[in-house]
Amino acid sequence: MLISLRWLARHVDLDGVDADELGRRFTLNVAELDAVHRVGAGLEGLVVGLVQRAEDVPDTHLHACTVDVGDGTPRSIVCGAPNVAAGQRVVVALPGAVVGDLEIVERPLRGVLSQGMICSERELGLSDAHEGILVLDGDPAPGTLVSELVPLTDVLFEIDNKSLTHRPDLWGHRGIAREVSAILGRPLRPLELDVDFTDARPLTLTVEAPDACPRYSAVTLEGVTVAPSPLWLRALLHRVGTRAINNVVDATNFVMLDLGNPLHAFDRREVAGDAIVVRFARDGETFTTLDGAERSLRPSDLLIADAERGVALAGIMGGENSEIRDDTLAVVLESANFDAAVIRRTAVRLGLRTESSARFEKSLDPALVADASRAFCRLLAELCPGVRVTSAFMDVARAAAVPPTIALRVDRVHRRLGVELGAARITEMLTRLSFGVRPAQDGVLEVTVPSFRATKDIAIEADLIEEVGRSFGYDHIPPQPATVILTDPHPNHQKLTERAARIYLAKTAGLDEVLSYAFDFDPLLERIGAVPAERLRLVNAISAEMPALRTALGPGLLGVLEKNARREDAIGVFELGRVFLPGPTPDALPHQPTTLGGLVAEVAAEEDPDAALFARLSGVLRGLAPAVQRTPLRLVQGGVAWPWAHPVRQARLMLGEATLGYVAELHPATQRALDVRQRAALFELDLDAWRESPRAAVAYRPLARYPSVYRDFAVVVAEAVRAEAVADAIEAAVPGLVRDVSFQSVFRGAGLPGGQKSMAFAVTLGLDDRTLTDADVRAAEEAIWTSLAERVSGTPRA
Amino acid sequence: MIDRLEALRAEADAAIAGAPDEAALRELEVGYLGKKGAITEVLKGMKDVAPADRPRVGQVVNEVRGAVESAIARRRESLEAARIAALCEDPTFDATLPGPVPRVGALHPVTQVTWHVEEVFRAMGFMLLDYPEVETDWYNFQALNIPADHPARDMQDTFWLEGGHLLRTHTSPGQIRSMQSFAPPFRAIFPGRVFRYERIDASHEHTFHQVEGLMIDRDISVANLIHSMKTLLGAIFEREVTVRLRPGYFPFVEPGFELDIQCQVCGGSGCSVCKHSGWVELLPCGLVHPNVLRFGGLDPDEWSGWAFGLGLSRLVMMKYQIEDIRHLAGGDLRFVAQFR
Ligand SMILES: [Zn+2]
Repeated sequence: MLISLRWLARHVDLDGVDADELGRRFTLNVAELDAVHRVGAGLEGLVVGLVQRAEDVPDTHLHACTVDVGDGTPRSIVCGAPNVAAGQRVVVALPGAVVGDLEIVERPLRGVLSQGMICSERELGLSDAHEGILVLDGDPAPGTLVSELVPLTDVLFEIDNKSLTHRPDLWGHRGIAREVSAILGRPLRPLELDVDFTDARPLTLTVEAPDACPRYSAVTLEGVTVAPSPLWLRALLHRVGTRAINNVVDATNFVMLDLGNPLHAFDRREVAGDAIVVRFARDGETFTTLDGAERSLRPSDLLIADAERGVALAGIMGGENSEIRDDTLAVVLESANFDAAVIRRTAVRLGLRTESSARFEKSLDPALVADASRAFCRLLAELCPGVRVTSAFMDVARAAAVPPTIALRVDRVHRRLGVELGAARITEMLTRLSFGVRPAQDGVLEVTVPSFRATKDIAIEADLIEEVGRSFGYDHIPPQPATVILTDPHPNHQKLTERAARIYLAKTAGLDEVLSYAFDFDPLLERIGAVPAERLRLVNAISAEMPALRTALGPGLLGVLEKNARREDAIGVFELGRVFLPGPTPDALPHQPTTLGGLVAEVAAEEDPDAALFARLSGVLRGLAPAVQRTPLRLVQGGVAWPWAHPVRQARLMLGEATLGYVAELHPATQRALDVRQRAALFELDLDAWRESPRAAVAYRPLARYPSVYRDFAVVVAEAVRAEAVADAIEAAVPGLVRDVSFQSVFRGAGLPGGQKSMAFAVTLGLDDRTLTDADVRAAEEAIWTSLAERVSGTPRA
Repeated sequence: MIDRLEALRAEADAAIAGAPDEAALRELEVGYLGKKGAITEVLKGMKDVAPADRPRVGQVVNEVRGAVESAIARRRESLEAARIAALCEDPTFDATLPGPVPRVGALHPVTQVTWHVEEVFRAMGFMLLDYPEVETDWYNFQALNIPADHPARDMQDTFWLEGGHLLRTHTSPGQIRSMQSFAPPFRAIFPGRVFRYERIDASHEHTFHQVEGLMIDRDISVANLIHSMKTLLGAIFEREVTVRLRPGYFPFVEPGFELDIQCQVCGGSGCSVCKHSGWVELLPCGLVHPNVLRFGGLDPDEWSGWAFGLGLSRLVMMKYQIEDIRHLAGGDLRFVAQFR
């Protein structure tokens, strides 16, 4: 919203006020100014000129003019406007003036000396009109400063509408002026609202939906001549961003921008049956708004109708059928108050947000209705001298609300603001903002809320404390530490686990942390054939490519691989974030576990007998368990259904009987679909579920008092035998004697029969109560070989 | 015999002095003093010496033996010294020759800045809490004093899910959830990811990170809020910050503020970063609205509180002077790798 200081000055004296300082105080006391704009700088010296002669310059569209600028030396000025003519009084910029970005200099144009410029309305910042020059009305003397006739300069405060959402009273210059008057301590000028209404009631007003329309008024006016508004009005409207239409429409807009209450003028001829009915639309009723769009209405949309049909979409936009036309002679002026939620619902549904709906959505003060109607009648009479008011002020209103009173505890003000102000000062500050204040009982003030603050803004004591605080100025409140009671510690184990996992993965495992969107990216999912059947879909997705919430981290990690595949040979990344799985019932919140995912990729041979990438991740996961102090997850081969998982080189991550995630090499088909050089492996696991399992506390054992004996076992087994089974066979052979079994390597080829492999394990043996003898060790070795033979058909490697 | 001994002594002295290394020295040691060594062999001839001469000869034998022993020890010492001296010389040594670097991964800058903020608050006794990203209308709006059809809903363009849930537009639902979970007084922060239905460009994202702070106690004032914000922001920025509060409208606080900090770039004199105002808008805050306390199950006549919401993504951008917010979730490893 743009606020003109010239306009404000109609309501409060701004003489000698520094606009920047006022802006700063407005920001600190009321709402933030986005910007302070100065318009018309450089135009102060423009003068009135009388065109004495205007002749065509041959072979051009230009005119060579002789212009009297009142100093006895007529100027030669070349002008390109089609409408310039001798006898006109025009605005002349002489050399030295700056019009827009253009500095005026004396120079020849097409061989003719030009000693200035004749200005258009647009060049003067008065309107968008630039087809011709501005021709002044009346007969101001040549040489008169134009700024004495039309305000060319102004200062505009730009305020983001969002910062006024809660202040229905600030949606017009009058309301802003009220705050400015409180800031400056200067009085607000009273409004002049006298209008000679008649006793006639030429229309019947029926409000069928009083909850949606607490107040509806109409006035008829006759003797209207529809014409352009005078320059001052067009200029003010233009300056605050409103297009001038004609005097009647401009008057409604001016009053809206001045007092804050939207108005609507109907052509009297089009109000059929001398009746206005405020009712909800019938289901499927259509209505063409004055922007020419036909709208299909619902029973929740409020309509202004005559005896036969709708004539306006209440509080949002008038109808094409009843708009003011060039030949309109009589008007019906609507000034009304509508329920905020009703207007908002329709405006949002139709995507039709107007200056009018924006105001009604904020809950306007019903008392404004009469003021706005009167202000319009007076203004139209000024713009259009033949106008007569031909009706009473016809007003259908629910009983005016009793001004609410709120008990304000002075002590509560002090405690909430943290500063002692005293009842007298509080009273003074509230009074300046138009609150009624009287002392009730000891330490309590009875505060009456003015109607324009009572619609929703000020309802409780805390609201008044805010009014006092902002008037006093928050920058005047000295900071003061809070006194606190020592509370119980609540360490967040979930966050501690997440932190430990992140540090381990980045600093020990050497993976880079990435963040991906919570949304599925369908182009990638489609390419790898992984669009989930069940997922949480968005009603208003940011784009059709991201229509739903992710159900896994894998695709996001693959996206990172794809994005970086050309630049980097080797990639190692992880992400920690939520995935979203539909809840058990539609009402329940979805399951949104914090999930840990990782991916490693490198340019490797397609034939990789050792599945080195898979092994790298399984190693990373083994190290993760102690890092997060949880029981290691078991890798159970098979059962991973994600489409990007290699069909064989994959395993579920199991904790007891629960599957917490998976680790898998990238499916070769997915690699092809992604068109990346790298082979990759990924894992994902539900960190929340793991964290909820019992903590794997460190079980301390006294240091071994008797030495260990180390023996290597190279055992030949069939390909199908898993390393875990071999290790189990060793461990089970001599219970209580094996201190550690650690996998070393696997070997295939030379010297081994087909379908066999040799696996090497380093075994640590020892006893707690004595040193092992050679005989003990020999017996253990034999037992281990026996166990290997029995359990995995293992034989010593020759 | 004495002559033999003296000759041996002279011979040994020369050989020991010329021994080039420990192995040669060890060989000489065995050759003279070992069980079958030359001096030992001479001693075997003592039985042929006249008894009267034996003491004198014996003395010479011991002298020679001692002399050879100490010659060997001296030579050994000097050889060791030479060896160590040689080890202490290395004309080819190049300290700048790069060694192999263990691969150290990067923590995302959002993680790093979040942890820093968490540290500051934990040091001041705040709990660290975490709440869902998919929320109900009730927690995200209604319980925060934003009923249906409230114009403030426009301020937070919302992603809606089929079925009526939504992606939280702010971390503020945590205010209600924490009030429901903990008996007052308490203080807590809840960092997390939030979502706004917004087109993205260099300075706008539909997904970003915030941290919400909440303090509930019997008598919390605006003066307390200003002090807390000043202290906490000082710790976060690791320098003294000048703050100012100005009115700001958020339905869940009353009074509500926008907190500005004095521009860290120009120090308040005005620059392009602060749009020449000297101030940079940093966070919304305020005293918890009585209705919000009620929705959280607390009696507003007994309890009060302050709350704030700080944009962590924004803080990351400020801290590292990142020019484009889209880098944060962009997945480009050239970005992430810089934060190792
Ligand atoms: Zn600055």
